Amino acid sequence: MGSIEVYIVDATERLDAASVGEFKKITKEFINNEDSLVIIDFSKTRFIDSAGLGALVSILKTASQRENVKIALVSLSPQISQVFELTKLYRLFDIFANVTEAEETLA
Amino acid sequence: MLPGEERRLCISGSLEDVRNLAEFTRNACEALLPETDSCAVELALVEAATNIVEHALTDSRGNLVELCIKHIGSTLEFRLIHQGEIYRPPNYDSPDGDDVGLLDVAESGRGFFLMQSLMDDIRIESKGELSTFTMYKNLGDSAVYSKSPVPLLSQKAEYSKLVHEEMEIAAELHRKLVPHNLPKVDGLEIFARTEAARLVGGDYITFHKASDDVLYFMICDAMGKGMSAAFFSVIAHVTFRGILQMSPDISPGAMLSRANNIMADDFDMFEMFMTALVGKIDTSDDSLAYASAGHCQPIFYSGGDLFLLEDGDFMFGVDSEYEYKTYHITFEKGDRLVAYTDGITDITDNSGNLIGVEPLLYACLTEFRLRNTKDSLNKIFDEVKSFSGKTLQDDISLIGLERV
Repeated sequence: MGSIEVYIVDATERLDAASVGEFKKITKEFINNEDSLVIIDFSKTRFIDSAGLGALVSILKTASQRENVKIALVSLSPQISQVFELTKLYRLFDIFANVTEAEETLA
Repeated sequence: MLPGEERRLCISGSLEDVRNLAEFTRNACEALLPETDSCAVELALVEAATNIVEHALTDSRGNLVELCIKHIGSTLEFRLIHQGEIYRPPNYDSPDGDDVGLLDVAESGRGFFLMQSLMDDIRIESKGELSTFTMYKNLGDSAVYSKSPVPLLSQKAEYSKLVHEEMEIAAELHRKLVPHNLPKVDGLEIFARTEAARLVGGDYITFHKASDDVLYFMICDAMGKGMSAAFFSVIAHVTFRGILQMSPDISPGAMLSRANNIMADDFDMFEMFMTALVGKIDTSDDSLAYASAGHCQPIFYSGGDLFLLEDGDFMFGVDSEYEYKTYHITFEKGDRLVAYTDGITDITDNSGNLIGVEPLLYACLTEFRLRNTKDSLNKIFDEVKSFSGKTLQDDISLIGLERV
């Protein structure tokens, strides 16, 4: 098995209906590469709504149809984590404390 | 944001403007809610506004959304008003279950679920061209975050005023229960007077003329004072009325047994007790029958002497199956009967001792030898009030019946 390429995407400060289109477009470009780990970094993000959650689900679905593409979410603030818990979406995603931890586990 | 305050923001229907609305909401709630609740409210508002912008504002009638935030009591109200078709969120009942495959997980539709989870109540209405989407968040204990003690106080005063007005209405209703027009029965003089320690009381008096010769009287004392006791005396009122309607010639003992049985669940529910005395006077055969549920012993005046009548049964609420005894005495011309509540005997003197029934007995004996029942008992009632001080220690009630 060849080595895995790691890509890091910085999520915007507000991942909402206004910004979600651009975010989805950028992230999906990375997913198109096979054998990759796409780490979505939420350290700057302080707000996410259902549109943001929907985009993440969409990204995860796309990734699952690619050869050996993994998605990791890292550095979620307590407020962002709360939304993932409320919607139970944390069950679908691989969530890590930071980029290093995600790399060590998945790459 | 202060209690009673209202803040408004009007946005055009763009997603960029929804962010302004989010910031406006965050600023309004900042001091009132802890961080997590503040985020929850912001998220719910963004969900609602985004839905309106994306789904409701599709026609040419205008694309403005107004947000009005009101701080009412311990609740924050968020009202989104917009033109256009009312937005009815798609059904999304529960978060994605465990057994759903990834490809089946929905990408959208979580908005309404989030609003429901994060807010305490949601209402949707439509009037003419305008649609309103309203959400409520209870401040709960977090209301202590308010930085404004003064408006809170004025609000409290407003509330107290409202409560007082409601109390006045309740008091008026309760006063109406106490008979103003005493029944007229040939051969009987009837006296009744009652006064509550608070606005409303737990003492209850009623008379019922069953025929030309037969009069029932009842005096009850619900444990405690104020609204809860008054509430209970209303239950007793309805119960006694019902029993007399069903069984017009019932004996006092049977009446108490039945009333106690009927009200048993209510006594349990409210953890309440009650004492009651029921009497039945028949002038055609000079008889008086009575029964007592733990009530103060009635005073019987006959031939210039006083007697405390026998009286030893449980108060209401102790044993729902209890059979109350009926006692019989003759009640002839010149005889008088006095019944009262313990507000009259349980007065404490300056050294804190209960004065008991003796002063009442002494007063009755003295007065009855000089005056008729009505004048005697009015005088005694006034004396009890003045002895009791400016504020009554308990509800006081006094009834008197004289065979003439």
